[in-house]
Formats: sequence, C-alpha cells, structure tokens
Amino acid sequence: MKTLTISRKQYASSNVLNRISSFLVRMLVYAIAISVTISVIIPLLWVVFTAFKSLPETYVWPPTILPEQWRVDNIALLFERVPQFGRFFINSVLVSVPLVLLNLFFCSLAGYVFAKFDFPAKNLLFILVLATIMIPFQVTMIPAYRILSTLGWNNTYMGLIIPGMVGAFGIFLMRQFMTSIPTELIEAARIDGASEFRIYWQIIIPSTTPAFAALAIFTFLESWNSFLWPLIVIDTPEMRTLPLGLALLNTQFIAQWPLIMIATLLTSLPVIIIYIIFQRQFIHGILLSGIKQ
Amino acid sequence: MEAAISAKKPLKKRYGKLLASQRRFAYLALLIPVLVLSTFILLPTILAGYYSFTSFNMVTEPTFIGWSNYIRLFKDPIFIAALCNTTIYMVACVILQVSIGLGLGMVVTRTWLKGKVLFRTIYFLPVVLSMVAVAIIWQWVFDARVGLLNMALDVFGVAAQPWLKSSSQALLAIIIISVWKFTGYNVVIFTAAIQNLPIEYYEAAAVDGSNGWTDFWYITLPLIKPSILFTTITSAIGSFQAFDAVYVITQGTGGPNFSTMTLLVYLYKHAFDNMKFGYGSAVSIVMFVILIILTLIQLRIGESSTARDF
Repeated sequence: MKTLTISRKQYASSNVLNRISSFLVRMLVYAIAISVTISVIIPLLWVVFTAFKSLPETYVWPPTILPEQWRVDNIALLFERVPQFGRFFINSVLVSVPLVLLNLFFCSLAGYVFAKFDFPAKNLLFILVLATIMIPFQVTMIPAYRILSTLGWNNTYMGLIIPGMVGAFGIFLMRQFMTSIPTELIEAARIDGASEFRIYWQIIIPSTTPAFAALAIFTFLESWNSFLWPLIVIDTPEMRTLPLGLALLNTQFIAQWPLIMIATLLTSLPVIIIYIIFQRQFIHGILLSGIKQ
Repeated sequence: MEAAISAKKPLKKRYGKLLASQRRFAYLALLIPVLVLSTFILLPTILAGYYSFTSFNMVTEPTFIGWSNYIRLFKDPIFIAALCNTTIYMVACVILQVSIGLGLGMVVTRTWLKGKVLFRTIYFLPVVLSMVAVAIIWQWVFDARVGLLNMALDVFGVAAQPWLKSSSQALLAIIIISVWKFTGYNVVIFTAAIQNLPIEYYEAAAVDGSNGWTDFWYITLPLIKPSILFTTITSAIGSFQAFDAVYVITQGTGGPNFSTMTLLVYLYKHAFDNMKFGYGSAVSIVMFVILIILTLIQLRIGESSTARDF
C-alpha cells in the first residue's frame, strides 16, 4: 500500500517535470523552426527591397529596410542598360520547354518499353542506360563538347537541347511507374487491334500522369537553372540563357545592387511561381528520386 | 486432325506478326534515347579516358603523351590546393547538410507543430533557385561594406569581416552558401522517412517509459539509417562537383589566392580557358576515380552498419 502511494507521488511529480520539459522542448522547436525560416527568407526579401531602391540608397548607413520610394522603373532601367535581358529570358524558355517535352516523350517511351516488352538485347540496352547514370558530367563534358563542335552545334539551341533531351534518371522513373500498369490492359487493347503507339498514347500516358508531372518539374528546374553546359556551348551574348546572362551582368555592373537584384529577381520568379503552384509534385518528385537509389 | 492444324496455323502466324510488331515498336522507341545517351555520355566517357593521355587543343588532333598529364597534375600546387579545398568543402557540406537536414526533419514532423507545411515550403525554397542567383544574392550578403551579414554582426558589436575577400574566410563563406541552398533537399528526404516510421514503435516505447531523446536515439535514428546514407552520398557527390557558386563569385579564378579553387573550377579553367583539353580530361578522370571510391566506401559503411542492426 505504501509503495503504491509513493509511486503515485513520484508519478505526479514526474508528470509536472515532464510537462515543464515538454513545454521547454516545444519552445525550443518553435525557436529553431522560426529562426531557420527567418534566415531563409531575409536574404530573399532583401533582394526584393533592394531591387526597388535607388543606387545611393543601397549605400546609406544605417541602411533602410524598405525602399524610401518603390522605384518600379528599375525594371525599365535594367532593359535599357542590358537590352539583351529579354533575349536571355526567351532563350531560357526556348531551351527549357523543348527539353521538358522531349524528355517526357522519350523517357516515357523508353521506360514503357523496358517495363512491358520483351525483345532480344533488352538487358544489354538496359545496362547501357544504367551505366550512363553513374558517369558524372565533368567526365563527359570535354568530349561531348568536341562531338558537338564536329556536328556544328556549338552556340546553337540544338547544342543546348539535344544532349539533354533524354536521361537515364527519367527512363528509370518512368519504368518504375509503368511496371505497375497491369499487362492485361495492354493485351486487351492489342486484341482490340490498337496499334502499339496508340496503346502508349491512349492507355499508358493517362495512367502515369504523376510520373509525368514529377519528371516535367525536374527537367524544367534543371534546364532553367543549368549553368556549366551553356557556359561551354554558348559564346555569343545573344545566345546566353538567364543564368549565363545573370553571371555576365554580375561582372559588368559590379556593386550596382538594384540593377543586379532586379535581374536576379526576374530570373528566379518563374521557378518560385512554379514551385508554389506545384509544391506537392515537387516534393513527390524529390521522393521518387530517392527511391531510385 | 488436318482441320485442327489449319485452324491453328493462322493463329500462330498472327501471334508471330504481333510479336514482330511489338519488337519493332520497342526498337523504334529505344532508337533515339540509346543514340543520344551513347553519343553524349558513353562515347565521351571512353574518349575522356583517351584524351587524358594526350595533348589536345581541339584544333589539331590529339597527340599521345602517356602519363604526362597525370604527372604534371600531381606536381601542380594549385591542383593539390583544389583537391584539399574540395575535400574540406565536401566534408563540411556533408556534415552540415545532413545534420541540419535531419534536425529540421525532426522539427517539422512534430505532430503538435503549427504551420508545418509553411515551414517545409520555405525550407525547400532555396533548392529550386538557380545557383547563379543564389551566389549573387550571397555575394552581396557577404559584402564587407553593404552586406547583410556584417550589418547583423554590427548589431552585436562584432567588427566587419572581409568574408569572400579573405583567403581564410572565403571557403567558409562558400560552405555557408551551399548549406543554405541544399539543406532543404535533405529536409524533404528526412521528413518523409520520419513520417513513414510505424507509430506502434513509439507507443510501445512510451509504455516502457521512454522520452523524446531515447525515442530519437533508439528508434528514429536506427530506422532512418538508409535515409542518412542516401543524403550523405548525394550531398557528398553534389559538393564534390561544386562549380557554379565559386565560378560566379570569383569570376572563375577560385580566389582570393586560390582559397576557393575547387577541382571542377580547376578543370574548367585549364580546359576551356587555356585550351588544354587533354590535361582537363586527366582532371576529370581523377575526379571520377575519387567519386567511385567515395561511393563504394559509403555503400560499404552503410551495408555493414545495417547488417549489424538486423
């Protein structure tokens, strides 16, 4: 009986302690979560504010946080000082959009064939594709550049698009999804006399839209942000994509913060908007990329 | 008997035709992907190995020079510096990105935390930005005169630091940039892994009087080992190939005083600025070999540690 009361007392006191410690833990967790949020957000907000300040205002001490006056005409100023900036933007679109479409088409087609078909040399071809995923980009870039030059594709859209139009990761991602499609569905369509391409187009594609969404987002991000390959392939200012243009701007207008920041903002805005709209697909895609390992 | 055969024959023929058309479709579908991957990845890999033993400027044909490139490489103090910088950078990035990623993964999976989705959204935001944009933003955060960081330090009474202009702080600054940029990726991986853990384990442990720390050390950590291995490998491979930030911030010099020179910047500079493509290829092969060894070591560690647990 005695032991029971003691243990009850102990239980009560440990309960109070538990409550205090769990309160402290919660405070700590919130403190971490919020301070990390601040350290991510502050530099980005600062970019937005500075983009709309006047040049002298970026040098005053103590610094102003919000612009004294929101200078929206800084955007016009950017296009005046860097007339090609619009062209950089168009170049990025003209490279990224075809890359997304080509990757979706060819990766899904190859993924489908690897998942659902039997044919001689299938394993050999699959190992060939598998091998390419393990080769880092820096190994291939010099010879790939030479091959490109031989084809006369340096400084062209072709040079930026063709080498990246299909990738082993996309093929694996698609194959993973296509494997789960019931083979009976495909057989049934064949018996009904549908052509192989029609089966792919009308049955396979509609049943794997999440994989398409994930791959589209990945490819878009990768190509929109790509820097090293365009740096190698492109050598005239008017063929530059946005990241190249931005890097050039950064060296041409040293310390002209409003100009640089407005360009940074315009470069980043498309991906930020797409990210906010398609958040769920982004996270899904990231997790799928983890599965491949 | 005869009737049965004749009835069977066309069926067999049809089946064969069907198979042939499937085969044709399969080869057609693979034609372009295999062609592209062979032309721009497989063939170049073989060529890179060959070029690394040649002197090659892309104008004249490569001339075979044996191991000279490799010998010169390891005699170049700047290459050794690049190797050291890249190693320091990689180790620091892996430790910070994985541990902070895991910590934040734990934070955003607390069931009682309000605003989880918002926190996750914000943590992942830097991952989607272009590294060029991020480098430019941070080059200005680190600016000695008008930079945010020195302003913040000023509030605490710390003197302004030179950061990217100092050969002792520049690499640290680049490490901070990449932690800011990439940690959000690991947060997503860890969040998913922690959320997928069966709640029964924690309930059973609670009956035995566990608390938050013991839960973490004895349940969560052992169970998410595969995710730790995965993020370690991806962070290591990614940071080993660091290029964009250093190139943008130092204009390709890896300065000040080569303190931020990484292997890939070194490779780019020699190949594409100095037109020494054979020498550049040798650097790429050395990087390739190091990456293979790294991955094998990590997989071995992962294998043995999971083998011990089960």
